[in-house]
Amino acid sequence: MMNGAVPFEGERVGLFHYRVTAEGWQRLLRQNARMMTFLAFWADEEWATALFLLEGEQPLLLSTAVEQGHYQAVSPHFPAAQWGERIARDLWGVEAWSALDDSPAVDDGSWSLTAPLSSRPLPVGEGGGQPLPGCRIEPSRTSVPGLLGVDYVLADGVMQQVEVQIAAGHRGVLSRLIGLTPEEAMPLVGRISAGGFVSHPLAFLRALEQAESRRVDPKERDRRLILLEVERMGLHLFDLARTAHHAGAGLVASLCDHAREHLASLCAGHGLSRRLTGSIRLGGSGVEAMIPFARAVIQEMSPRLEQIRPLARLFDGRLKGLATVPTEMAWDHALGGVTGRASGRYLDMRYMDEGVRPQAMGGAGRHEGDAWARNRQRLAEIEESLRLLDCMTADHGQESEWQPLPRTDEGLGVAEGARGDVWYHVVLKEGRLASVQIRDPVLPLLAVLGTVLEGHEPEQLDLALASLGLSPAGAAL
Amino acid sequence: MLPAPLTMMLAFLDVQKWRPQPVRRRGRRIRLFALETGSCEGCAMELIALGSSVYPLEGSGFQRVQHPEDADWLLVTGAVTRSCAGTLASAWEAMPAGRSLVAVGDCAHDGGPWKSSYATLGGLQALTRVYGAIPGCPPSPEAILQALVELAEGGSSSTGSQASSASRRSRQ
Repeated sequence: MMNGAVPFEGERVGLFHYRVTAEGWQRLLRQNARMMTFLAFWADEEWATALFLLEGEQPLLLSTAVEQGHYQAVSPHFPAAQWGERIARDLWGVEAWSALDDSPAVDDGSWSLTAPLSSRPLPVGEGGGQPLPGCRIEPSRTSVPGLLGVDYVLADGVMQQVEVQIAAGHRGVLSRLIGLTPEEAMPLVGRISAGGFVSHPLAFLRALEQAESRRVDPKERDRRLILLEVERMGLHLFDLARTAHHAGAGLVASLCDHAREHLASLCAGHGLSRRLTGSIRLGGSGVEAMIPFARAVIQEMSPRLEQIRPLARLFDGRLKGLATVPTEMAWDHALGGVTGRASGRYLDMRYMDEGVRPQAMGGAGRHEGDAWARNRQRLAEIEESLRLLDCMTADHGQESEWQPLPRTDEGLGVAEGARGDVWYHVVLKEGRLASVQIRDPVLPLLAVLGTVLEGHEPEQLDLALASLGLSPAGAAL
Repeated sequence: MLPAPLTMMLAFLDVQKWRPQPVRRRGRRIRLFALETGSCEGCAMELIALGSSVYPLEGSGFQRVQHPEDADWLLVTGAVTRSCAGTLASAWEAMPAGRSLVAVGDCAHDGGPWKSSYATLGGLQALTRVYGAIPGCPPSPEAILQALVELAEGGSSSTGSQASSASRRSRQ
């Protein structure tokens, strides 16, 4: 990873945002391919932008102009950029020179417009556009809750040349968000992914607060942190239950299901929605009493975790060596959340949160990278969440250092959700969203999914997908 | 730490103790096929939760099936993306006579926040007649089960819950 000082000539246009020439862009990508941690790529008609992490988890946004609908691809240097390049091509019609993959990602020929977010979208003629090749397993037939098509060649009884498709789930999220006020956008952002009913709106809100140089009240800050941990516990329980179910460990699945539903009823009993939808709001705190809520969660969930943990060990053998993500792959593709941390990539963006309680964190992290390691990681992180809740009830609303930043109308927000780091980049113009880009943790996972699944028997697919906690909605948008 | 067999037995007893009472209803067993058509996945996750041991779906006279050919009711979640329209039509066509269409959640009913656009058709309401619509974003598994029971019994409602607003329309 390169140092915090940015070693290049570029025009600074935001707190973490630099613009470079096409030559500078290419030179930087070539020189720093092994030195910067790549996180995300997006492009619109005007700018191609890559998001990196520098030392100390400081973000860096690097942009270059899109000229006559083209820019130099990032994917030859950072392969994880290929999904972003493909999505930009589908939505804005901009093309990346020398891209690793230029096949459609979200436009499967069913849309009524081509390049719908471009300034001149083209209506699709009678009969529709070019369809994607068919999948051996149709998007609605995989075991994940969302729409994920899986195609493969069966060779010697195992899957080879695995390809995945997410286009069926594309709802036109960005087209709906652009032009809205933050207040209008919030309900939509809160419904982008059930894997982030808290983390998505929280990352969005943090981006807005940075853009407008607003500081959040410490009590509201802690309220959000509590909600983020409760969401983490619920989603980890869901993924543990699905993994146990597909591994034939019905009793463990039942225990996790019961624990998750009990958590939902605790939320409802404390004035929140069951799955915390609508719990992150613009402009401040709700009426919920968060300390009694957090205490109730600790009291009710701790004994259940104690019960699940030893039983979960009984089906370890069915998970070892399954859907392994090697450490190098996790780093190269910026895989976050449980998948990254079970594979030796121990990045956790919660450490960057204002008001973080580092004394309650840490110790979690594995390197084996398989379904077994991910399960262990989830259990360790639920335990960690309980410790964090305990800490936050003890010093709820404590003041923390805050450095005022100038208002730039551009903001970058991140929230460490259950399945990884969710990033939002927003640009405001006259109080409305002129631009918004979203990086859900499933996006880098899609780039490696085919490789991870290769060599497994088709019968192992459901278990492998469950163990990866895959939720395509955050990427299909 | 307790020995594993004892831990397992105690956990088994707990799950038995927590097992909910089925909702008694009249009529035959109804086979359900769930189809996601483009959403945040929240409603699909609630249907998965409904199928777990926490809720008495089977005990209440319902059965989840893996193929539309075996189903009596098609439970749709999601705002119906243009991409999924063909899959929805195929699933419906594959179902045997006496089939019914049920929209689970606001998106499936009227698109929720995802109205008609270049990518979505905006829910079943704009496309076809539905037998029942279960509101919520997402509806809870209890609400879905209650609504399914009400629909199975002819749309009568005895509760003032969210589920009681499940509306019965037509059947094909």
